[in-house]
Amino acid sequence: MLFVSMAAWLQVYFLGAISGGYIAINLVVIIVVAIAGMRSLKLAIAAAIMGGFWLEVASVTDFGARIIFLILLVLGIQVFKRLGLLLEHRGLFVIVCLISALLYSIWLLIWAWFGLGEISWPPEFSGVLVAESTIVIAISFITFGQLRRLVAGRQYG
Amino acid sequence: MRRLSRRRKLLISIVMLLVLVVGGATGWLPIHKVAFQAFSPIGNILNKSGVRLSRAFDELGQLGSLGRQIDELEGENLSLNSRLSQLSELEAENSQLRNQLGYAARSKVQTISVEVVNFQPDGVRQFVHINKGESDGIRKGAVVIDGDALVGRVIDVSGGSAVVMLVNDPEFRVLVGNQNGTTTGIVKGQPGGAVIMERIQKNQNLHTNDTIVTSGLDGEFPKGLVLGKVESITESNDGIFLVANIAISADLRRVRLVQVVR
Repeated sequence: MLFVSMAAWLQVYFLGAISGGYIAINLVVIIVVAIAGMRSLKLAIAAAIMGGFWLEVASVTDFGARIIFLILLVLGIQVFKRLGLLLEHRGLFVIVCLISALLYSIWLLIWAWFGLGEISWPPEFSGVLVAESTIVIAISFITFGQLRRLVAGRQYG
Repeated sequence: MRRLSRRRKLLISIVMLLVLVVGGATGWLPIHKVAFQAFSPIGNILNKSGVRLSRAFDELGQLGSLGRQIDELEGENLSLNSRLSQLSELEAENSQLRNQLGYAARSKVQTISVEVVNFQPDGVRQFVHINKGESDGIRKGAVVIDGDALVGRVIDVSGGSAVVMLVNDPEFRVLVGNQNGTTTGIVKGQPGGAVIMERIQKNQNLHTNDTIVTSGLDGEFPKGLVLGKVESITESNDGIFLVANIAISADLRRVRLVQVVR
């Protein structure tokens, strides 16, 4: 749990200060995907609540949207695992992280749309999604091995 | 028996989660403020490290363009460069504070200098937390500026911190006009950080590169705060009005020190 909390603090305060708020560096999503793919459902749900909670604390609007998304993400990955698609390969892990991060941004846009009543999809938002996706691909690709060791521990180590 | 116990555990967890989400969303549980205040010391340390790293990247970029000049200066050496990089951090802060005096000195309004603690961690909404609050004289609705430029407004205040909605948030609205007063419209933010000016009458005289300032007509923002410059002008979807894309003056990606108008 401390691992997810640290990732959330790093995402909100440290990486947020570097990127200047426009582009989210979705560390929490990547770590929740890793835990959901490599550990038990119970632990993954707990990680989703903890990671989501810290994102909620740092966010101003739509309290609950991040926790709900991360729980749904864990449940989705669980279905994925039951179908026999385990996140043991780097390529598959990167693809799942990428789709999850994209869905996360779209999910938040939908919540904003519900909150504000009207919202558009300007070209700048597509640019933000491209930038966020590139960063997610890079981070998940580079850290896959370490995450597998850290998250899965003896199961895969 | 064992099954029932597991079910109970699950039920309790779901109820607790619902209380957390509903309580936080409706505001009857002050989770947000309490947790934010409690963890702000860790946040401050991480944020300052992030700001330093960000500045180091900026300086690296500047060094590239200064490369040619450095070659021409025979006497310059590495020790001078390293001293310069230490000083430039302080210099950037000083020049920002000097710039901020612009609007405050001209209009004789009282302002409070504040630091940005963290940004909203997604690209849809645009908020920042600042390190001063009610106990420092900051009130809800106060206007936030960076020199002559409008940054946003305070939407929530607690004892030692406050939340600022930035001008590029999709919920932000302000009545504006161009600097020579020939055009009026409404500026609002967009997901992804862009800013547009809407409700511009077709017969009004607006050109690219016109400076857009607050009109003061809404009674919420003082007149004359700079929003930015017109980048492009297109027709609105309904064909009745014009829509202008605005390049905002305040560098919201790098905003660290701002002023709150009392």
